Amino acid sequence: MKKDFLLVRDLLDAQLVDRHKFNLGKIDGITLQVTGGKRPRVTFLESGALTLARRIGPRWERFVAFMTRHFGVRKEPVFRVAWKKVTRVGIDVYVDIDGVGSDALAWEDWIEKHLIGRLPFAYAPTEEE
Amino acid sequence: MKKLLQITLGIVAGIGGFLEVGSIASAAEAGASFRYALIWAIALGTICLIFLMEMTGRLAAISKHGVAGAVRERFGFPFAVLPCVAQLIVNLLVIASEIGGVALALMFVTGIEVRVWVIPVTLLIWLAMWAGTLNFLENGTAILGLVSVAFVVAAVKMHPDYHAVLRSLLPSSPRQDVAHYWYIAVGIVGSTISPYMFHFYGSGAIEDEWDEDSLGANRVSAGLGMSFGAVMSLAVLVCAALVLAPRSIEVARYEQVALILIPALGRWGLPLLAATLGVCCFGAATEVSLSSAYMVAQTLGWNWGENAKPARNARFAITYTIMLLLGGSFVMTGVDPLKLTMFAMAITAVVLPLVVLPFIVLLNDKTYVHEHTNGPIGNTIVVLTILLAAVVAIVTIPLEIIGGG
Repeated sequence: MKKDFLLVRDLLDAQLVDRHKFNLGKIDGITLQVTGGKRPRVTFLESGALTLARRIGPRWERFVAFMTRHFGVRKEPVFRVAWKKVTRVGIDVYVDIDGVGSDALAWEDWIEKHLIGRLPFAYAPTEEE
Repeated sequence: MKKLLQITLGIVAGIGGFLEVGSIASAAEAGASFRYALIWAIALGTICLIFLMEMTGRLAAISKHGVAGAVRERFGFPFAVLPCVAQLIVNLLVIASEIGGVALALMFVTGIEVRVWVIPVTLLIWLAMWAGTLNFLENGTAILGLVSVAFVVAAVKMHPDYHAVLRSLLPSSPRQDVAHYWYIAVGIVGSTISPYMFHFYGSGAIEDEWDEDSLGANRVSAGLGMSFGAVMSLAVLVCAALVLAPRSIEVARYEQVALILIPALGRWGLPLLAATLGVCCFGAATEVSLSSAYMVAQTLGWNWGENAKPARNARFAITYTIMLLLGGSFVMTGVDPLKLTMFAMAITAVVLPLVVLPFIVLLNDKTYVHEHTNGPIGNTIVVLTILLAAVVAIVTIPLEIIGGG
C-alpha cells in the first residue's frame, strides 16, 4: 500500500469496508497527528453524524451533538478506526476489523431489533429469531 | 437468461420513467393542447436519457458504485447533500402521485373514491418491496406493464397523420399560447430525465451483479428500455391529440385522460387505461421508493440491497418504508393529484443540473470506469444535457407562473 495520500481526494468521503465486506459508513473525518517539524500522519479515520455535521457548520454540529446526547444509541458519538487497521485504499477503504456488533452498525442493529425485526417476513425462514 | 434479466431492468426503468402518472399527464396535456407539436420534447428527453442511463449502468458495472455513492466520494459531502435532500423531497411528492395514480385506477374500475384505496394501495406496494426481491419487482412490472401497449394499439387504430407526427420531431413554436407551450415542453423534458431513474438503474445493475461483460447488454437495456417507454408516452400524446384536441378538452383532471382510449377501444378503453395506470404507477412507486433508499444508503455508506431480507439491511428497509408512509399520508390529505404531479415535475427540473453535472467527471475518471471512459460523443451529449438541464431549471419557475395556469 502506498504511503502518501491526497487526504481529500483519496480518503475523505470514501466508503469504509470491514473484513467481511460490510459497509461501515463513509469516512466523514480524518484525524491527523502533527509532531514538530515532521510530516502530518493520519492516525484515525472517523465516521459519524457529529463529524459530518461539523463539516457543514457549528449550528449543525451543536444540533447533532444535542441529538446524539439524548437519542444516540452508539457508545461513542463518533466511530473511529486506527490507521494501522487499514489494509487497502482504492475507491473504497478496507479495514481489518469486524464491523458486526461494533459502534459503526449500532443504528443498524437498533433498528433491526426494535423495528424491522418485529415485522413479518423481515428474516429469511432459516434465520427467524 | 442473465442477458434477458439485464434487459428487463431497462424496460422496468423505462416504464417507471415514461408511464408513471406524471409522464402520462404531461403527454396527455401536450396532445390535448398542441396536438403533435410537442413530440420533439419527448424525443429530445429520450435521447438524453438513453445516454445518461447507459453511463449509469456502465459506472455501476465497472466500479460497483451507484451514482449517489460515487458523487459523495468524488465531490464530497457538502456537494452531495443538497441534490440528495432535494431529490428526497421530489421523490416524496412523486411517490404520493404514484399512490394516487394506483388509487385512481382502482376508482375507475370500482367507482369507489380515491381516498378509500390509499391505505390498502400503500400497504400492498410496501409488501411487494418488503417480501419480494428486485427480480420479482422487475419482472412483474415489465410483464404486467406490457398492458400499456394498449395506447399504441389505440393510436394506430385511430390512423394518425404519420407525416405530421414525423414532422413534429423537429421543434417548432406555436403562434399563440407560447408560455403554456414551453411550460409543457419543459415539463416533458423534466419528467423524462427523472433523477430517481439513475439511482434505481445503477443500483439494480449492482444488485443484478453486472460486470464488464454486461456492457453490451447495458447498451441494449438502456436503449430498448427507454425507447419502449418513449413509444408508449408518444402513443399517449397521439391519442390525446386525436381525441381531446378536436373537442377542445384540456387535461384539468386525471379522469379526462380516461377518455382517450374509449373511441378506439370502446368498452375496453377504461379497463385498459385503469390497468395501465395501475400497473405502471405501482411499478413507479416501488421504483421511486427503492431509489430513495438506494440514494440515502449510498450517500451515507450503509449496507443496502433489495435482494436481501429487510432485517439484513434494516436502515435501507426503514428508509423506503418511511418514504411510502409519508407519501401515503400526503395523498390522504386530499391534495389534487394532478397539481401535485406538476409541482413535483417542476422541482425535478430545478435540481436536474446538479444531478447531471457529476456525470461528466465520473464517466471520465479511470479509477471508476477504467478504460471505459466516455468518448467524444458521450461527453458532448452530457455537456448538452447539462446545458439543457440548466436552461430547464432557470425557466421552470417563471414558466410555471406564466404558463402553468
